[in-house]
Amino acid sequence: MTKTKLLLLGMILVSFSPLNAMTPEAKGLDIAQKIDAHDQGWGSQVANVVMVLRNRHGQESKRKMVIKSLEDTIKGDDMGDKALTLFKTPKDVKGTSFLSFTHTEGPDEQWLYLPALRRVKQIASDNKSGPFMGSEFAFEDISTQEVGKYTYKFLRDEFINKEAGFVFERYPVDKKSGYTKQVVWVDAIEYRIHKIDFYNRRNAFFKTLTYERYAKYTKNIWRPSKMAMVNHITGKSTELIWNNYAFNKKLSVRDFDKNALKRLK
Amino acid sequence: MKPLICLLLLLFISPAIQAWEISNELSQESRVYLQDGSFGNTDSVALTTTFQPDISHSWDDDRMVISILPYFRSSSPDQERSQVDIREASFVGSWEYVELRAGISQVYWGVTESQHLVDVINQTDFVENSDGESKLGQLMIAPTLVTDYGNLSYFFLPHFRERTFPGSAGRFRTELVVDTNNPIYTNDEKEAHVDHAFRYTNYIEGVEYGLSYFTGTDREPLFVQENESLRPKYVQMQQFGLDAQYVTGAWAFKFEGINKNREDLSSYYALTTGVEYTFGNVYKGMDIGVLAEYLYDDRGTGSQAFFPNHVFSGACLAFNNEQDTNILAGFLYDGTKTRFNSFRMEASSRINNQWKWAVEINSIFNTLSDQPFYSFRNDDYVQLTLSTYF
Repeated sequence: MTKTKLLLLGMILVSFSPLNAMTPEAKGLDIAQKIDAHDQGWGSQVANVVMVLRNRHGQESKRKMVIKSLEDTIKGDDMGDKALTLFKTPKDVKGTSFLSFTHTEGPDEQWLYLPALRRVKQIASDNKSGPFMGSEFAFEDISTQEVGKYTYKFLRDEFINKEAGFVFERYPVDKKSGYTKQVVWVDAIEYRIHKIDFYNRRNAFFKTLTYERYAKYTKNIWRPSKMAMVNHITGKSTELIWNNYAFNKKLSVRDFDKNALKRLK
Repeated sequence: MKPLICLLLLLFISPAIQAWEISNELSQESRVYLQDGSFGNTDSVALTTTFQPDISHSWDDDRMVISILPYFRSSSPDQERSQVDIREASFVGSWEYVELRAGISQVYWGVTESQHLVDVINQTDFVENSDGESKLGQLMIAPTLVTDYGNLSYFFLPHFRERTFPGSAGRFRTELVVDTNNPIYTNDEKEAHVDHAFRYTNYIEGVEYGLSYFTGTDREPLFVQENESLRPKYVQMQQFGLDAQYVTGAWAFKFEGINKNREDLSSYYALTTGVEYTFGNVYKGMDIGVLAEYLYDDRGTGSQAFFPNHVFSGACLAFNNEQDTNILAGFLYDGTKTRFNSFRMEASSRINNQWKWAVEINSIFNTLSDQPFYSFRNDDYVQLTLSTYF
């Protein structure tokens, strides 16, 4: 059965049967679609991000970057959101920038600009499980979480920070993913993700990502101020601290192309 | 230099200083040659200090950017390696369908790793590194039309710059030293000859391709022997270029080809084509890329062509760690003489947010006297560079 058919089946089940009569798979998909639906209409977004890397002994190093994102407003095609990350520090990588085009199905496209060589290099798309800039975030963790990238299974209702919520599992469709399974905690009020447990290819408990201090921005769009990833195997951790979120900057696809990569400083 | 100094002063007294970003790189490079040079250039240690400030200002959501990159290099024993340059002093503006690049700038064209045939806009700073990756700033006005059917750029290049060459005490020199003070231009306008270039690029379904045309002064000189020196001779040329890349899964397929037509010389074709495969996240996030490229030049062996029939094979290790450790290594194999010709290795890693080290090993061997790099046969080196950023 194709994913589209599964999706259709899911929607049919949603429309004709009460939630509690759904299969765990359909209920998981239903929640994922609601998360997606609650995160629409933000248009474009720019934020300053500080990445704090910590090793097992607590030694820290910091990177500063600007992350720009553009929402995919044309539904029904294969294209998803676009994101551009521009590095400001450490100064030896200042001006290095990274562009990614998410696809709802199939691998994402990624380009890296190296300022010393004035050269844009397209990155092999298979390599999604590798670390992003030496952090505990893999490339696939920082790319947009399109609904079609996983299959789902509802686990249970659970209170999260004294709010009603759900716990479900999702399984990456792409065999190149570094994970077999992710367990997701989401609240039932605004459908914000609060925590994800990652299980690696050997099915071992691998990493935990927590989303902290959500704040409400434009049009019911909620964003965390901090995302903390802990690697349980190495003891290392990475925090992304998001500052100065700006929405509706009227950014266009022209701000997310290879010319933009070469221009940015 | 005067306008630059004025601009710098203006920057420092400007109340809008906060809007400008300044970052500096100071590097100390120590290079040890493993043999005496072939031409009495017997110094075995070369020390070079470079200082590269990077001053930039952007506004209108990064659609308008000014970049100023002065470049200072002091080197001994070869004074020809000492240099003051402006690598970049440019404005780049982006509007809906147009991008404009104006001022002194650098642009890169192409996709292959072993040589860059298509890339013709900027002159090579050969004394900086024999690998040809360092470029001098080029004065240009370059508008680009951005459409759904690809990008079309025009380059107006009003000022030509000569290639840098080592002096008598330097390495990577020819038996007769290149007399960079007495170049020959076949065109009466000399370095003021206006060169033009066009480039069209597009990206469809994972295939990226570019078509380019250049007409003007050839960046690569010919040489005329006069008394005890070689005078560089810059002739007019036209070059057509095609470059293409297809990335799918872990594979990247690459092609670059040119047809170059120089005045009073027969035209020639040259190409580089190859594949790259990346083993992603093999161990603790490390990526290993392996690549092989074939280099061809129809002028053949015994000509000015450096790589008439060669195979380049290389590997790169990206540790993807906090220190950003990288190692690259490559061999060049001569398919005509069936022997390896050179080996190169580069490694670098961050020490902390302020410091970085880099090591480079370069060796040329098994050369024969009819090969252009025969003169460099005794210039193998090991180099350590320490850089600090502030």
